[in-house]
Amino acid sequence: MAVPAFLARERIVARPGFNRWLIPPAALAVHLCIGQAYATSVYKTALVSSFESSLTAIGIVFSIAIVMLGLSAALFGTWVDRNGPRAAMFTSACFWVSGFLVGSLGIATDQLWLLYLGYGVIGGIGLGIGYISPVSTLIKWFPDRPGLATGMAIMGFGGGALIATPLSRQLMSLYDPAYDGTAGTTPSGSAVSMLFLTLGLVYLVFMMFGAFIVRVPAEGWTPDGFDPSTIRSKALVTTNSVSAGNAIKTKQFWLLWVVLFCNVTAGIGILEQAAPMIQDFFREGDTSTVAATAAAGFVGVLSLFNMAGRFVWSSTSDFIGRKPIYMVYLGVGLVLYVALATVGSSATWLFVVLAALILSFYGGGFATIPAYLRDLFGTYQVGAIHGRLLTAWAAAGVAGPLIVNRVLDTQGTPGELVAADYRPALFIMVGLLAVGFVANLLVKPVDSKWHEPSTDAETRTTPERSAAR
Amino acid sequence: MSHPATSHDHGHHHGPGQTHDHGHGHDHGPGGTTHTPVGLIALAWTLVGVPLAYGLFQTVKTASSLFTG
Repeated sequence: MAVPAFLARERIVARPGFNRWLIPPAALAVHLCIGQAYATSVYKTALVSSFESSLTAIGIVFSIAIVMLGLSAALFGTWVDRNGPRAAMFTSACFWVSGFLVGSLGIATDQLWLLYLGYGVIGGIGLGIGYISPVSTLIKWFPDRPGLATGMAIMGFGGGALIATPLSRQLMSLYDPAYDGTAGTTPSGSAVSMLFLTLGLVYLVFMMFGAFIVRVPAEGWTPDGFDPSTIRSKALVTTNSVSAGNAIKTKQFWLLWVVLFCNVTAGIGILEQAAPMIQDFFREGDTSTVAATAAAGFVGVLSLFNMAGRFVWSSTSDFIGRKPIYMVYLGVGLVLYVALATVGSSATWLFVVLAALILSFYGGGFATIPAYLRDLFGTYQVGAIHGRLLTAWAAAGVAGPLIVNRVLDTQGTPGELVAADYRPALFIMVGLLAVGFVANLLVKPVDSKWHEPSTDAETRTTPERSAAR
Repeated sequence: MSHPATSHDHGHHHGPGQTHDHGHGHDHGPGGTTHTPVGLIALAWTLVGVPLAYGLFQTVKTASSLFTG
């Protein structure tokens, strides 16, 4: 599918002398906007009340969006790699913003199906394309520090929720003076509709700014002082290329799929239940020693560690290697989970430290996977391969909450649960992390039969560039 | 983190380096080279940095209630 000339990859090839530090803010401009997907809880109750519906019916909106994220990233990954980051960011912005506008119309006219279609389906497609849009570009601009580069962008996805949550609260209190953002007050449906409209317009400007400034490096470009042979000498790192079509036929792709699935499911195990979980762990009789406001603070701490982990751990992987860092995420994560299940209820500070570290590994797992893929499959179609791998996220998004909610349902009634009731769910997560740990251990270099015939990956990545010359 | 605007980051080309940067806000020098204005880099980082700082501040404020509330 051809794109208009102003979006074409050959129009954004950087001239010599271009400063690559303009690329991370371009990526962040997109990821900070689409990260709003994790801030939906802020208006969930308002939507339940506005549609006179249930939490489950409203929760489906978010589930549809995450499933569409996985599907669109997998389906459009090759298109994104072929047409470049500007076309991808522009397309993502159109879908993401249209999703908000259609969703706003749905809320204003009291039609829930429009919210499903808008925010869920249309917005979800924008999420998937936007999530992978800057990844391969960043890896090409930062061959010396791919973990740092992708960590910065994917940190932005975590940061997006940090921005959207308080911003949404403030905007809704502006549109509905009866709502003051505190517990017990609920914004009106029209306030949420106006919020969607406002966010859509703000995100349009930001994402188009990212699409406007992004560039791809010219053929053969490398940063000054960078010696590709230093990369080649590292274990598991290839300078060969594997196509997305061939990558999914390799054992390595599916091992990484299992790694990502296990890591994300384990993280969701805590994220899903964070606020009630800390209260239940420190319940004495009918009351908890942890107040509701402190529980909200705990969710904030987890968000901070989730975001910081994306940047810190992914950057660290540039020095210690991708396989060892996943051994930390999964192996140390497993030990932390066991500690949480067994001694987590002995002190609040211990519970918070353990959960925060687990969430930092959850974030790190997301941010490091593109660099791991680059190491194993090369830069040729790393965006498309990443897109296909994100189906593991979509699957974990369904499995994680399902495991936790099912187990807790068998243990008792919400509001009466105690630490021991969480143990079965936590030990299931321990088992999953063990599976992920073994899968990571089994990762070996990709067999040469899957390598593309030519090793000049850049030439094949951008055929339009050759044609333009 | 490395400084976002060192000359080290402009890189170099190994191959036939005919490039096609049609962007705006760049000073085009002789021989098809470009210079990215430091102001543009600062503006870009500010545009993403300010909302992120706002989000971080608000979240730290909320998180602090875990220790005070």
